[in-house]
Amino acid sequence: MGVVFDAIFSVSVFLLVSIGLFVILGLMNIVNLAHTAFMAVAVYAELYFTGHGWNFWLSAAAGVAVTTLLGAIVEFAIVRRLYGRHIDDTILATWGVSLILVQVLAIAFGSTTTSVAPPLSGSVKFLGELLSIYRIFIVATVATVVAAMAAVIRFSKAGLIVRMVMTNEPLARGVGINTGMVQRLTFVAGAAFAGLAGTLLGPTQGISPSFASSLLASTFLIVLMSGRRLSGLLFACVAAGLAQTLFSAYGNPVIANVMVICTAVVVLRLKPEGLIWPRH
Amino acid sequence: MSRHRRSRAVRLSAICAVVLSGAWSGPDSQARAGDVQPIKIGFMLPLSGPAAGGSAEGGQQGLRLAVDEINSRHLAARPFEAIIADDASDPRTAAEVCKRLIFQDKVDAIISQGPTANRMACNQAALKAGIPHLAALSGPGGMCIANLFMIGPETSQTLHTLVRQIVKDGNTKLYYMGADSSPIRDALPPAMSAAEAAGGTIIGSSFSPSGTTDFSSELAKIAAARPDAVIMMLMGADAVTFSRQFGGDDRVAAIKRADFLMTEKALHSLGRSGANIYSAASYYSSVPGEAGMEFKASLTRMYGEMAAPDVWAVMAYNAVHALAKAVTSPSSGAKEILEALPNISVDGPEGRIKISGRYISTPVFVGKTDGVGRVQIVATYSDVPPAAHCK
Repeated sequence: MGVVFDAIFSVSVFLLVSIGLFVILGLMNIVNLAHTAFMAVAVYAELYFTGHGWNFWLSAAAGVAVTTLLGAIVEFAIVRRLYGRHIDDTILATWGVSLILVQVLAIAFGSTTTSVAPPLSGSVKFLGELLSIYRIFIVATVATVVAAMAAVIRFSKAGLIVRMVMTNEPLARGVGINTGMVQRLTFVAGAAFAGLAGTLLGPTQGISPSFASSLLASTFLIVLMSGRRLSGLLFACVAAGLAQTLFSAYGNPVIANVMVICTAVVVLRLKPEGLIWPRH
Repeated sequence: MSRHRRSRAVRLSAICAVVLSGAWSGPDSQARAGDVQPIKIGFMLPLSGPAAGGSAEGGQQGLRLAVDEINSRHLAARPFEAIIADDASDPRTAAEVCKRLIFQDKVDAIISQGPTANRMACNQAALKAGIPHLAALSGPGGMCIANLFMIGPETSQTLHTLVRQIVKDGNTKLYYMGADSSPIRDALPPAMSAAEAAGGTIIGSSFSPSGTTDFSSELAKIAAARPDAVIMMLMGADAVTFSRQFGGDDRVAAIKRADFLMTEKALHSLGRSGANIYSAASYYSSVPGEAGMEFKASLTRMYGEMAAPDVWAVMAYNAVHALAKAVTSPSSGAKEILEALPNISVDGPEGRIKISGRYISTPVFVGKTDGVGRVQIVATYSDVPPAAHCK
């Protein structure tokens, strides 16, 4: 049972981190290599505010707000100049943004690893296993976010517009949709998701300016496996999370990391279109 | 927006990133005025990448303080000047950085605080050029290289002292949780011998790659093994990540922890979840004594609230003072320093260290974190000799 919950948690973490990347890549065709740097900004904002006496939840909300604002600034200053450009340009530009953000954090807060206390402590016993309450909270939050996102995309007018822009951007523009604004809001939303991931994972991690950077490669592969569909993202996270947990539990973490990459390679070789839910 | 202006935005962003990423380095301290040329020290440490975060603040502060003292009190026959460089936690970068320091900046000595692989990559150029290289950190023993001196305890001096203390306190079944690196893996067999010699045993081990964000599976293995204590040999942010997850996991709540590589600041940041963690090092800011107090006061005068009087600061500080003692005349250069270093001792903030072969005899302190992450000294070993013997 412990392994099952560990796998669920691992899938949730992959979902939490990759959802912002997924939104930006899926809608804008931009590979945002600054994603984990945005997460780092969020967690340092959280650290700053908790250090000034704010409670965790307010600090986390402030961290998300700071990252959302930063996303808007980066979009205005850099990313909007890259719309329609080759994907290499977006990789180079967002990588540059990432390096700048990491160094600014190092200058402002120092490079020493620190941490922030979790807001929920203790465990509950479930089927004989002790499960951390904070980890359960993360799993529940991720499930809620993914369900809400699916509902918005499937049932709301905003979701319809987003789907239309994703499917055929010139046509959407032709029928009067302000596609520039949709893209702008998408990047800001992606940054907000990075903020959410950073603030939620903060209490479980050592915090340094290169916070979560080791997750960037695996989550990028997950987004490639997703086929730019939310259902595909869910399947890709399940595949990566299972590979990570099972090979870690019954092998070792070094093999597990390699197996996540192998899983992505095999999936992309067999299903280059990604793990898309079949439509009839 | 024209294509030309867009390209310029991309290029500007990349240039700014490279400039800010630490690829640049420059003289850190003004040399004393006069005709005597300064001794240039190249100080290489990981300021970026996964290994950053350990020595970054303390190491630089200790180095700057020592250079300042040497120049203001004329403690060496030549003034000192330091150039700080980032090895980016990468051996290839470390090799390039060292070549630049030696052949372009013409440094007389190198002090480094990076992982073993970076140190060895750097030392290829230093050895070829006959430049003394002082590794100001704790590391594995048994490396006898003509120009390389460890100005920090070798792993056996601290780890074995720590293991003996834990076993002595009644924790006989131990689990070894390490980073997936050669020095950490190589430290396991001697640690097993030390545990057995003290009456304990290491019943299991795990190694995780750098940048691990989820230790659930390892914590499950530790819970299943039911040791009395876990020896944590993780580096940088991984050490804090593991401790945070360990502290929040009730499956391992009854198991004690002993950390070997976390900084005091990181231990402090753990707060209550970091209580009662054993640790061993050649220095803690809680070490009693006048020299230690003076060291902390000097760092606080220089850096105020940002002062980091930790073991990294002390090892960098001692390394610079060891070099100063080796510079005995205005004509002293790399060759003379290399000849003098094997007989030098330094009275540092932790007590006296003495270079013995290529390693040092040093005080070792075993500490335990209290409820707010401060390290309280529980045992002091005043002069622990190195196990490695280099001729």
